[in-house]
This record gives sequence, structure tokens and C-alpha cells, in this order.
Amino acid sequence: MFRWLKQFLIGSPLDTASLHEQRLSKKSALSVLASDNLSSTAYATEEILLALTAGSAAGLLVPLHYAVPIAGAIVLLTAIVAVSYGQTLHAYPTGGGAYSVAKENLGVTAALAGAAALLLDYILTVAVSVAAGVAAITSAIPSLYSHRVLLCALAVVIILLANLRGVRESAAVFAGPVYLFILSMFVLIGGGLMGYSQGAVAPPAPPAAPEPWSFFLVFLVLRAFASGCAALTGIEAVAQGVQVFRPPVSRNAAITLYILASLLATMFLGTAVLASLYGVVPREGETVLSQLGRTIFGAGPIYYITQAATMGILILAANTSFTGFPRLASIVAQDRFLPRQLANLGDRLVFSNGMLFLALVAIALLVLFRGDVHALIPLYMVGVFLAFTLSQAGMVVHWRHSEERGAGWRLAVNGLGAFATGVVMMVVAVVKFKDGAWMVVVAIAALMVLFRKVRSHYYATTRELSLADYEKPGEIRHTAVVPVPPGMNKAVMRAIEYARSISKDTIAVNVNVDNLDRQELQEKWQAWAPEVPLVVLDSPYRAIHRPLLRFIDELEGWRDDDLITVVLAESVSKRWWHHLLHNQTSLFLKAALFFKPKIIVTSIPYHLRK
Amino acid sequence: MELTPERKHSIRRRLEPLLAGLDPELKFVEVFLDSSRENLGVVVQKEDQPAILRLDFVRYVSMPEAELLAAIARQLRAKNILPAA
Repeated sequence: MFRWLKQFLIGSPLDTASLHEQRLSKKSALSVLASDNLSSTAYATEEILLALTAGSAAGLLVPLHYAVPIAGAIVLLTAIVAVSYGQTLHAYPTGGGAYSVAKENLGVTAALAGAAALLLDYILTVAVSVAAGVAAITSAIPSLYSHRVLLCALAVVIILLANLRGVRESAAVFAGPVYLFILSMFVLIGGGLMGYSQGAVAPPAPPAAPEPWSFFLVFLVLRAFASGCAALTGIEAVAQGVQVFRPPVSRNAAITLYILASLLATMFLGTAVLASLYGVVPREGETVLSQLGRTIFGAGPIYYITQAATMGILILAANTSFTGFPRLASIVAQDRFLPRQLANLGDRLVFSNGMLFLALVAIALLVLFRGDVHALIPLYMVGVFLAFTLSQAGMVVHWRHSEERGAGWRLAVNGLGAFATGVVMMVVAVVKFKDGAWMVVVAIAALMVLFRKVRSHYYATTRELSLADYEKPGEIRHTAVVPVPPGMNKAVMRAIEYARSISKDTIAVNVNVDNLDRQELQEKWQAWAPEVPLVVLDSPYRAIHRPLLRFIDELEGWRDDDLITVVLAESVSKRWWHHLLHNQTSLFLKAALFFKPKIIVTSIPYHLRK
Repeated sequence: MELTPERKHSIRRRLEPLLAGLDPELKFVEVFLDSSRENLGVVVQKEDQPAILRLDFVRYVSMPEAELLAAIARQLRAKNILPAA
């Protein structure tokens, strides 16, 4: 039943040998890795405008056309980051995320900081983007607002299932919406510029006289810049997910990265310019992008297609995290800083456990914040820029020790990238500190401690299991104890026979919850297993486990060098629902005895035919 | 290793009064012998708390009652079934 459901939802298992077939072309990889980054163009311009208008409450009017140079600065930063990551891809063709690069060049602590920052960012991306996408749906259909948490969870589950089906399948599912969004944005920008040049729209009122520069104005502009830097989130996904590309991976990944950066720059700057030309300002209830679409195309099909594509890309931004998070978690887990289950490929040659973990944490966040995670948006960027900075700084160290041709100019590029992203990180941390950036710092530190603890545990386990100090024990002496019901049956007899085959000291124990006649029980027992003593324990409070576990405890200490094997007779039903008709005593006993060091639990199944 | 019914009965007859003297709620449940034939396991129970007393089987036969009583009481106190002396 479970196997059928699993196969229905995520497909048949894939052969390990077909791993290379799961690799993607540039076009498909772009759809998988670009959604997070490109989706930020749907709100980054609005974030800048909102930050600029925040001063009006204090009587400071900042001209909104400042958004264009601010967007220009962010586009320049995008170019620096993209070219810097291009050098990373050249140097680390097998995957050059912040963790790998920092670990090799800056040490483990820096690497763990980078990993913690990125993992947090991926989780936040899923929560925020899904909530934003669902908010777009509930804006259009307000009656769904009260179900937003359920819708968010449903969206996460759908993206999870698509990703669990495999990289190629998820690329096929998500390519349409991603390319539709790109097309709709270009139509919007092209249509908008053409309309403006033809004078279709009255130019906005001339900007007010600029305010004299003051500390508050500088702070507002920096805040707008920091908010707009949301546009860069997700750009590292290509460097992180380089292994999804077909060979030559390094070249294909670099080309895809440059295409992604170019698309981002064009769409982001284009939106900022349009907002400025059309005099669009953020307003309650309608996004800047929606206002632009409505103004340029009217409330016709193109407008609705643009809105639908925007909603789609916002939800699908989560998809990039489903590629990035499991891969990064797998690399960190291979180094034993995360549970090793996260390192394994699943049935469909994707890191299923990492995906499941990401989905669970994201759903938990969405439930916790009632599907309204706008408060989490400021948390975003500190982690991302920390990862950028560590990655680029690591590359500077890499090129310093490299004798490769061109190492000098590559060092300069990465140095510029490290400097620029480092400065932005500090700006973001300062101006967003009160909005929640401090929480990211705390969370990153907590995750780093967790990573170290996990690693210490694995190290301690390995040391303890090492054969270096192994001393062969003498003869193992053990007692077999068989919990039995009041009546004899085939399953019990099989367990008794098995117990006798492994130990000369076999004891049967019955907990007499029904207060049956002891003499009668003993007589029945003697008829079937006279060689094995039967201990009939009273249970004045009608509990089976308490007297039984205490008896096993007693037996454990009875002979000093004894091991205890608890032999459980279990009848196995033919149909899954038959299991529900039997009590689960064995299951509870196994759970209760699992952590006792001198006790071994063995199940003797009796398979029922009907 | 199972004792003969007669042997079990005689052990029970000997131990039950001793247990009752120590605590009237203490019940004799079962007795068995381990495969080395050195250790006698006596299962007793008070309320829902079972305990297994370990007696040297060879010495048990010739052990004076007072010594046997002291050995049982010591073990039951160690298991917190009887209050400390």
C-alpha cells in the first residue's frame, strides 16, 4: 500500500547508473535554479520605493526617482557577484558553494558560518515565497484568506512532490511558469517603454526639489539599497547546484549564471525605470508590478497573464531552495556536521531526506507565522550576503595560492566581490538590525554550535566503535526471556523453541492482568513446555508493561555477566488493516527496551495465512 | 533449567513463611535453577514490583534458616522492597 502510494506520487526508483541522465541542459537548469533569483524582481523595486517613502512619516520627502540609481547600484553589484561566482565555478567545477570554498580556503568555522547562513536562507525562501504567492491568490480571491495557512502547506507539499520525482521531472514541471514570467516581464518592460516613448501616458509630476543631504536621508537611501538587495537572493544557487548541469559543467554553469544575472539586471532595472517613468508609488492592496501592468496594458488578458506569471514565480521561488538546500545539506552531512541521512540520495536520485526536512521546517514556519511571513523578509539578506562574502573571500585566498594563468586578475575580481558584498552585508546588518537581522546572527551562531555538536557525536561514536582497543570477550552467557500471553498458541511455541535453541536459560513470563487461576495457567504450560519455567506475575493495576519491564530489569542484574535476550512472539497479519485489530505490546516493549545496554530484543514472526 | 515439581514445592514451603515474616505482602511467585546449577532464582513480588533473589543452590540445602532469612532480607533491602534496617 505504502509502496504503491509512494510510486504513484514520486515514481519508480531510478538506477544509480542513470544519475548522469538526471543532469540538465542550460535551458532546463535555468528554470530550476533561476526561480528564486528572478522572483525577487517581483518585489525588489517595491521594497526600494517603500523604504524611500518611509521618510514621509518624519516629514522627509525623498524623491522616488532615486529608486533608479539605487537599482543601478544593485545591478552593478549583481554584475560583480556574477563575475565573482564565475571565477568560483572555474576553480570549483564540482560545486563551489560558500561552504566548500570557505572550508578549503578560510577554515571550518567560516565554512560553517556560510553553511548556516545559506541553509537558513533556503528555509526562509520557501516560507516567504510560498506565503507571498499565496497572498497573491488570496488578494484575487479574498474568501480564501482564512485558509491561507492550509494553502501555503499545500503549495509546499506540491513543490516537494514535484522535486521528489527527480531533477529532470521538476525542471519539466516548473520550466513553463518560469519562462512565462520572463516573457511577461519583457513584454511589460518593452510595452511600457514603447508606450512612454509614444506619449501614451502623461509624464508624472516633476519631482520635488531634493532634500539637502542629512544623516537621516543617507540612512533612508541605504535602507532602500539594502531592501532592494533582496534582488540578489538566490543568485548563488547556480554555484551551489553546479552538479545538476551536463558536462562541461563548469562552462555550462557559468553561462547559465551570466544569463541569469543578465535577465535579473534587465528585469529589475527595467521595472525601476518604468516605476519612475510612470510615477508609480507603492500603495496598500496593489503591488507596483500590478499597477504598472494595469497602467500599460489595461485590465486585459496581458495584465492577467502577467499577474498569474508573477504569482507562479513567487511560489516557484521555493523550488530553487529544494535544489539548493538538499545539496548543501548533503555536502555538510558528508563532513558529519549534519545527520548522515541527509547525505544519501533517495529512490529518484535526489536528496529526498533533505527535501522532506526543508518542507517540514518551512511548513512549521508558515504555521507559526500564520502564513504571514513579511516579518521574515528582513531576515533574508544578512545570511545571503554573509555567504557571498565568505565565498568570495575564500576565492581570494584560493587565487593567492594558485599558480594558474590569470590568477592575478581573478583574485582582483573576487577581491572586489568580497569587498562589495562585505560592505553590503554590514549595511544590511546595520539598517535591518531592529527589523530582525539580530535574529539571523543568533540563529547562525546556534546552527554553528549544532553542527559542532553533531560532528562531536559522530567522532565520539567512531572512536568508541573503533577496534583499536577491542578486547575479545570470554564466552557470552545469556538468559532468554519470552513474554507470553495466558493461552498457548503456535506463535508462542515457535518463540519458545527459538529461545531454547539460543540459550539453556530460558524463562517464560506472563503478566496476569485478568487475574486468572495461577494453578490452571501452570498446568496448561506444563503440558506444552515443561522444560521452561513460567513466571506468572500479578498486575494489581492491570498494566502489562510495568511488571514485565521490572522483571526484565531484575533478570538483567541477576547474573553479573549475563546478557538478556527478550524473545517476542509476533503474529504478522496478511492485510495491513488487520494489524490495527491487534494490540501493539511487542512494539511498545521494543521501544521501552531499546535503550537498555545489556538487553537484546528478537522478534519471532509468525505469518498468518488469512 | 526447570526444577522438578516436588523440588519446587519444597522450596516454596520453606521460603513462603520466611517471606511472610519479612513482609506479609511479599508473595512467592516462582523458582528456577540456572544452567550452571549454581544459582537458584527465586521470583517474589510485592504489589506490581517483582524481584529475583539469587541463592547459592549448593549452600541453600544446608543453609540454616537464620542465615537464609538474613540473605533474603539483605537482597530485598538492596532492591528497596524492604525498608533499610
